[in-house]
Amino acid sequence: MILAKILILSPIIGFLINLILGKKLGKTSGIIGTVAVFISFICAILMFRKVAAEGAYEVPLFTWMHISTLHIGFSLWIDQLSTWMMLIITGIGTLIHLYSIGYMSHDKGIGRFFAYLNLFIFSMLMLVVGGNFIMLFIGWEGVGLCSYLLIGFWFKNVEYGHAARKAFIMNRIGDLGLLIGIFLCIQNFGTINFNEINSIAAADLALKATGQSGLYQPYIYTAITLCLFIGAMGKSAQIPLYTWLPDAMAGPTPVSALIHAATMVTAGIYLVVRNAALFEMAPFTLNFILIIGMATSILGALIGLFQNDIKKVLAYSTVSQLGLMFVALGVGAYTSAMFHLTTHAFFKALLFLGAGSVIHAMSGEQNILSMGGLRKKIKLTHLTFAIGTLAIIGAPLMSGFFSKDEILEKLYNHSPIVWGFGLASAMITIIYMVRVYTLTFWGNFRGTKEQESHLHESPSSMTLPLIILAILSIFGGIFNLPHLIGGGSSQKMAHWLSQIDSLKAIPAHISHLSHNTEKLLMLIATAVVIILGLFAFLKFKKQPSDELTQPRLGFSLWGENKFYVDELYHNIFVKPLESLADFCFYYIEHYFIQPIVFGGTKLFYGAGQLLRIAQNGNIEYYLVYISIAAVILLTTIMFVF
Amino acid sequence: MQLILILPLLVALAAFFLPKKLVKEFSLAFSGAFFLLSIYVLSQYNPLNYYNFTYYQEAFLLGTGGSLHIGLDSIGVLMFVLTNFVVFYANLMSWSKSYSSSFYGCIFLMQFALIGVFSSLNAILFYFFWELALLPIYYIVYKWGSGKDLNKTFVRFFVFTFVGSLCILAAFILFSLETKSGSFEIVEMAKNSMTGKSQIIFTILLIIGFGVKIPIFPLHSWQAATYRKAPSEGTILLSGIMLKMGLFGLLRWLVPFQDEANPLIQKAILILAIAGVIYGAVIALRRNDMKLIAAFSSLSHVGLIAAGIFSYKFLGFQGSALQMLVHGINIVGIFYIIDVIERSAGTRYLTELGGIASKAPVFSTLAFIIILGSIAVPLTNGFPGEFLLLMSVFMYNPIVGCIAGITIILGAAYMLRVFQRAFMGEVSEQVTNFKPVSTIDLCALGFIAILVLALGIYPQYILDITANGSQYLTNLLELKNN
Repeated sequence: MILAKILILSPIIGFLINLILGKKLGKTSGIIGTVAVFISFICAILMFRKVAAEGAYEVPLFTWMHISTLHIGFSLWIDQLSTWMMLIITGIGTLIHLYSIGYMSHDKGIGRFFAYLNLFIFSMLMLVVGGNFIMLFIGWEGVGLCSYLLIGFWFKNVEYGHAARKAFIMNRIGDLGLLIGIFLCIQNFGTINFNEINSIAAADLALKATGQSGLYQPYIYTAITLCLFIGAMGKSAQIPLYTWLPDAMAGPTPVSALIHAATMVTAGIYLVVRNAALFEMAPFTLNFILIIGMATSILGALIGLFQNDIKKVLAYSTVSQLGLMFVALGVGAYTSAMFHLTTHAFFKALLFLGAGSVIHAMSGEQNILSMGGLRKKIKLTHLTFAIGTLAIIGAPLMSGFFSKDEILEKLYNHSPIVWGFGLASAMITIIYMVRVYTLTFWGNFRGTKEQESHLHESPSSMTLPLIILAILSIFGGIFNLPHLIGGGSSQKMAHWLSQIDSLKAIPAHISHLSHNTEKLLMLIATAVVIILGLFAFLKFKKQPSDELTQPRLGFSLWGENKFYVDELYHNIFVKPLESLADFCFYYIEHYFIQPIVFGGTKLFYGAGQLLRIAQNGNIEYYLVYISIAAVILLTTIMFVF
Repeated sequence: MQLILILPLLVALAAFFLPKKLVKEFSLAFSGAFFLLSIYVLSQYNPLNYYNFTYYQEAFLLGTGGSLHIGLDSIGVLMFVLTNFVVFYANLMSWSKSYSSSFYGCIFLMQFALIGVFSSLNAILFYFFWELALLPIYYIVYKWGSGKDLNKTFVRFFVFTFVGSLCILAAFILFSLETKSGSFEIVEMAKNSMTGKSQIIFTILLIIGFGVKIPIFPLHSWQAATYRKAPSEGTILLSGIMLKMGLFGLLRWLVPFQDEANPLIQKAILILAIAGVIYGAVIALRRNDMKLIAAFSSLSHVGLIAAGIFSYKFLGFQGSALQMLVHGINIVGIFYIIDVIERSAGTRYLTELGGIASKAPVFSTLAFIIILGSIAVPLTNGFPGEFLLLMSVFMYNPIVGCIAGITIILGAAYMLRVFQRAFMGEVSEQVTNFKPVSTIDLCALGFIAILVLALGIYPQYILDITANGSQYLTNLLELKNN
């Protein structure tokens, strides 16, 4: 009980201290912020052990709202899934806080920065430990708010502010879906507690397995899950609500690593896993998720191929990888998606922090065309970035290899065609990641002389997190080794997570694949990584620099312009809405709303002209008369009757 | 205890005659005292005993013998607190300006009338206070308003609200004629019932009468122009508390008399209200005058409250009671922010503002929290009410509910635009000489910010107060319609 309270309160206290005293504290605020999150991390470890020993438990705090039969408690639900997410959030959170001490040391707003970061950790924890949909929604909107604050952290820049607003509003579109999903739950199930909803869905699943009709109509499940997924689309940047994420790179780099890669954007995955039993009852929604995820995965990767801003490439990569996780959810491989979520958190945080270190060294330059040959200048950053790249492309025995391989295997089990698409997305990933890595660290330096003279390795508070994340990116796979390699200690994480309510209810998916097919699939994946990786590396390394800066044509030009989706949205949503606003204000108000009264006005005005002759007065006196009359009237009423 | 009603009237009289030098301190002190008193009343209020008007014999505050009754029910007590809150803030806001004594007299006269409106248990008494509440605000708008076409705006405002009042009076007279009950006491009235056509006419008359004040789309044409031209003190009185008169009127004088709740009227009004929700939000997206944005946002928020009431559900009654209070607090906060900006930068147009956050960080933080409340981010006070109202409308009709839900997207869009343009970005020319925000203003906004967070984290405190009253209305409707 007390652990859960400390877990939640520690970041809030950090937030308050930094918000109120931020200006005076200066750099100390970074230490306070980091310690606050580290305390939460310790709590998370202890809670993890407690859950391992005693199982899941609830921590009720107070009643938030009570509406006739519906009781909405401010309560925390600590189980295998929430502790797992807690460890990721606070663990990586601590590292990124530590990194930020160095990264933000020259910024005047450092106190404000750490205040927002701590508030984010609090909201994210609320999101994953909330025992019902409202608690989740509080965290859900809270992280969106922190994301808004941090994207627009350098608030003097109008562009950044615009990106922040775009992120918040696009997320709100998703939030509306989630909110309607919650309404549907209340309307149909009469509860919003995850436990109760999952047990309802579990009962129906059991009935379905025996061929009986369930307690609730299938379309109810479909409607609810579709609404929930719309929420997930917004937060996890899936088509069509993905365009905010690349723009969100306007925020400081640690923010991109923490919020827009490792934690917040994975909330959509968490939402689906948390309600897996519901989704399992709605095959239509699962197929929908599969299609959206696949399309997003490939589109994100394709756009990433043509971007030149190092952070934008990583952003589109995140979009693509999240798509892959949704594909896994779509085929019912919930634990595989969680596994990839975990390894992705390691290596994508690493890549973003590495990119931050590069940008730091390059005096703020983000264009990879102006970099090159950095491997000799910033050796440690280079090494860790290389590890991150290897992990994300799925080089053998790295963490990304195991998680991606597991998803591909599940896809093959579902349908070879889906597997083919998944593999295609993985192949594009290899090309763009090797491109970024090679153009940044190999070849000749292409920046200005001034930038070259400033090149320096980052301070140790920045490199230490890089090293730890690099180690995790290499060995992260041991959490969930495949049967082929791990033997007795394989699939640990899958076992751990399958104890939660929503997954317990789902009958285990039996793999139809023989060991030989599994081996073959792994072999294909390995071969693709090695051959394509080497090919891409050699190609980009040798590419002369004038070829790089040539203007692009045809498909690549479309890719560079993100397939004009932003422009499309602007023209079909934003502009018409703005025109409508003006139309309503200048025309409807004027020609429709006002005449309703003016007819009447004229009549009364005419009558008023006549009556005015009889009056001459000062209105102040009239008011006094009225007051006196009222006093007399009231006193009479009260004392005479 | 009758003093609570009479005191503001006495203070108003005193304020009229006090010399200008003293009146400001005098008014602030008394309005502050009234506010504290109202908090005390709220803390003593026992929602189990006095949740609705049928208990008037033991009415909490002001019982009288004879035939005129006054008492606060559970929603009334919230509005009573809100009245004192808004009047106190109107006084705070005027601290740095110089108004004549009659200005303060008007404010207290209005306070007296408003408390009367929220506590009358007699239709004629209610009508008397309703009219009385309008006179001071006419005068405030007319005398201290500014901007071109003030006269035209004033006439529009006057005619609109006056016609509305007449509709209310007509409805009450109709009721009395039809049911042949000689009494205008609500308890006596509730014993009788109207049927058929006269019931429909009664309902429509009251909807027009209250709808003008709320305002319900499309009866809002007086609103934006009046808010814009009235002095800020007048604006917060209008938006913070006077439009609640209309909503309160619906809850006390319309809903209990829906013997045969006409589904067609219910549906029509609900759809009009939702149309106003979206219409107001869309217009607010592109305006540059901050007062106009606040006015249209108010149209949008209040439309949702009206829709919640007309969904005739427990959720809707609870949500509307909570949101009436919360909207009052937040809109006062928003207009207060606008007033501070206008005083410090000399303009309230977004095109001329920018970068206030660099000049006044504390003020900006407080403003941001209040804006969050208006956007209804969870854990701010705007969320619980909006959640209940949207859910209630959704339960009434899922499609209408989804359309109403769009407001959470549009609301974020226009409010963040305001914040962005005014507070963020580079410091604009007008803001360069931004005068420091006074401690009084910071404290005033700080208190609102605390309320924004406190009611968001623990809304059940308010919901507990109104629960029985809402349940009573729900049962009444179910009984009558079965």
